[in-house]
Amino acid sequence: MGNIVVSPHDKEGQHHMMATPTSNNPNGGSAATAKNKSEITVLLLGAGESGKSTLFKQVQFFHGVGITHDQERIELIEIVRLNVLENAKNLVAATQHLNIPIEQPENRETAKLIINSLNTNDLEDPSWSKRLYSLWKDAGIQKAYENREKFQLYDSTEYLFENLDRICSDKYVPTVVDVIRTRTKTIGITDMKFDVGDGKQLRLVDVGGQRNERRKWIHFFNTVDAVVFLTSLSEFDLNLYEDNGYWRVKESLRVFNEVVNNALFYKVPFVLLFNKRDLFEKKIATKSFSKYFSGFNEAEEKNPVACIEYMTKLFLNEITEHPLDTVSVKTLSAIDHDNSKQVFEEVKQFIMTQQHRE
Amino acid sequence: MKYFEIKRNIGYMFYQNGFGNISGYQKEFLTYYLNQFNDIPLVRKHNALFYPFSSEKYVLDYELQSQYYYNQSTSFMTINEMYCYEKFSDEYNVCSNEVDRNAEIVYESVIWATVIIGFLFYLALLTVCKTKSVKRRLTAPYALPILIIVFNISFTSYTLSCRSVNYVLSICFLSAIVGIYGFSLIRFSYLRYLYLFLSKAKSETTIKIHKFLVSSWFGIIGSFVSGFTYACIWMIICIPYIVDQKQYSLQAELNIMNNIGSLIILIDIALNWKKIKDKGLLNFLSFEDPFGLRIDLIYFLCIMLITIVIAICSQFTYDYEEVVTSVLSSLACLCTYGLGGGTAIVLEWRRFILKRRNAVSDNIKQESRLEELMKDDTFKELFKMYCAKEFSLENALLYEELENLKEKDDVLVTVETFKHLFETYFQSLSKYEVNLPSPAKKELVSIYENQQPVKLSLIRNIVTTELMLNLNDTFERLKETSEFKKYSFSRDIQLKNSIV
Repeated sequence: MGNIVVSPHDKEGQHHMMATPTSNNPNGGSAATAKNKSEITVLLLGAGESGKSTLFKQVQFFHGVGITHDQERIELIEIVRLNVLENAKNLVAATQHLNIPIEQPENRETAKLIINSLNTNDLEDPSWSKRLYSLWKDAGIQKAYENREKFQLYDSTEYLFENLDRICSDKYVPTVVDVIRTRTKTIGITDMKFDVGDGKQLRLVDVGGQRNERRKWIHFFNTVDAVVFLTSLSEFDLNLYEDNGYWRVKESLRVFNEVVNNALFYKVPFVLLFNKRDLFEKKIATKSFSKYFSGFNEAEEKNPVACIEYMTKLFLNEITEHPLDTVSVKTLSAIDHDNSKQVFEEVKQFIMTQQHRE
Repeated sequence: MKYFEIKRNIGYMFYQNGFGNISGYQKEFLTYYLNQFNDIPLVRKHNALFYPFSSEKYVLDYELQSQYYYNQSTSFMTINEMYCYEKFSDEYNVCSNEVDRNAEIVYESVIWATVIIGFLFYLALLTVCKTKSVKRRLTAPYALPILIIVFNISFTSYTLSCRSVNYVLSICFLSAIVGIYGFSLIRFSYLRYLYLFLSKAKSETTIKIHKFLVSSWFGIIGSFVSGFTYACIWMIICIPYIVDQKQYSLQAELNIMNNIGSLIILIDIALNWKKIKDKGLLNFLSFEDPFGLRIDLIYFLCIMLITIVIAICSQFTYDYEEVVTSVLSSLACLCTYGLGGGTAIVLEWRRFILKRRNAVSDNIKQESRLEELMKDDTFKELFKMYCAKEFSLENALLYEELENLKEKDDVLVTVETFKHLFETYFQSLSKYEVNLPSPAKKELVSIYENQQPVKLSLIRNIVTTELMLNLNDTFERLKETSEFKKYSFSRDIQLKNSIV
């Protein structure tokens, strides 16, 4: 296991294999997979920000795909800093929206600059590290951050602000953790292939999760051999990115229902991954879980195991058509490298055994 | 009137040292004539002061010749053809009156003006020799004008009076011009479509060959070799005509050169007909062609039209025929200066002036790499193809549509256009719904419900940041593909050679 397979004409792709345009063709691909089962296509599905791409990136990293090119590094710096700026902008906008004033005058000045003119190149200047950190620690911003369920904010906000002294420097080199932690909205569909032994290849397909992106999933439904459905445990207090009045859990359940009961997937092994367990455990310590789920026993709401059990039931109840013995449920913390590796290994084993049984 | 009559019928010109290859009764006549009219003003001596480099010549006056012509019922047409029927022959001026001298002065001054403009051209070229427009024309701006200058000088009265040598030289120069410019043109077209070739290249060797072909050394040496070879070919074709003392028309050479150029621009127009129709001719000549290659080719058309006019004019006899012809051919020479880099000089000067004027606004507008690349049609197609395969074509389509709207002058988007945009890209479950955050969608819905024309800048403010993020996500992956690497390789070369 472990060798990354690249398309034959992509010689230079060895170190940083990524999808080539030709490998993405669903029609061409389906014909080949139907005849030749040496390729197992695994779909990563789930609503927006459930962690599909994070898991995808982790799998890439523990299959030897690293950041090798300087050009790539430069682009990653750009992406990380863009994330910092987006988070800062969203937080400042939220203070206005939620009517929480930023307390320190110099932080108000910083906020103005962030909204109006700051760009990623400015962040090379280490003085921005202090200014942004001071803004982050401002009582107003912190109050807004505590109310982050009321607006859209990336999960990585805290991590990025705590690492500003590294990021805001002209010598900044993104680490693997930085890359895992940055959020980029996935557009369209991408895939990667790697060897899993027995002359078999696993083709992992990452997709976008927002409503419009989900309509593109159908292109892969025909060719799929296994589905990994991700859902975020920590989204129980959040609304959708694409529709702010819509509860994320409700959306996830709806999507899960559509996918798991799809006739094309009857015979396909199905893995349900409850992601963001780390965040979830932190969240339920301060927030009420039972407030969002009327059927849940209030006394148990600080117990993560009970909560997850409840969520599992909620999801499994959606299954009406799919045979339950081919469904596996696991929890995951995709930003944790070791945990992802372990869980993905289990998922792979499960899929392989299901394949053999077939 | 008299001047042209003389020109047509001028009897005979001979050199002091002998009669040359003439027939019996011509010799007879001349002997008779010289005996009869020696020292009589009907025979004029060549003005040695006016033509310092020419040998002394004697010329027979028209009236005398016609007198003899009627008497002997014979003609000297064969000899006329050899020497005196030339358009640019300076011999006839020897026996000219005042009118002839004026024509001679105009003829000479037009030629010298062309030569002086050639030298001024070099001075102008010095100011822009480091710009992309000049660099991409390779050797043409340096080599073409000097050839034109020498070509012109060979037609003044100060130079050789032997027409045959003049012809040989002029054919040589014109062929060299065609050869050098033709090579630059082919190299330019090759570079422009380099990506197309590279994308089909499979083996390392093929790519190495392409790398060799695009090197500037190959370009410089190749252009000279091509000029030399082409000149040699035409010499081989033409020398027999000259040896036979038949007149070879320079216009044939010019026409061939023009036909090549005209053919290229006509093909170019045909291939880009849709673009011209969509965006107008001006856009086709300026935006689509930042270094003025197409303007160069239009010079070709001009040169062709001029030679056609010269050819037609030479069929008729009229006052100041020589003046008209020399002015026209000088115009053709000026067009060749333009071809050789005059366009580049004008473009670069204009750019310099505009840049100074817009220096301030330039700094404000910064474009991302993707936005810059999207201006290139080859990239746009590649990107769209990749988007389609990743199922994210909607973003590229919306980007394109917004760019097209920007080009139109009206900044207000009509209700119908917005309705189309909304129903295609923004509405939930629309055909090409773009991934946009909730607040942006709400704003777009409210604009849609307003049913009022809306400013394009407003739509762009709502959409652009998110759209660029979406496109960049796809672009990040496209960058890893071998297709993009090939594209980027050819684009780097094109940038280095100032093709794009």
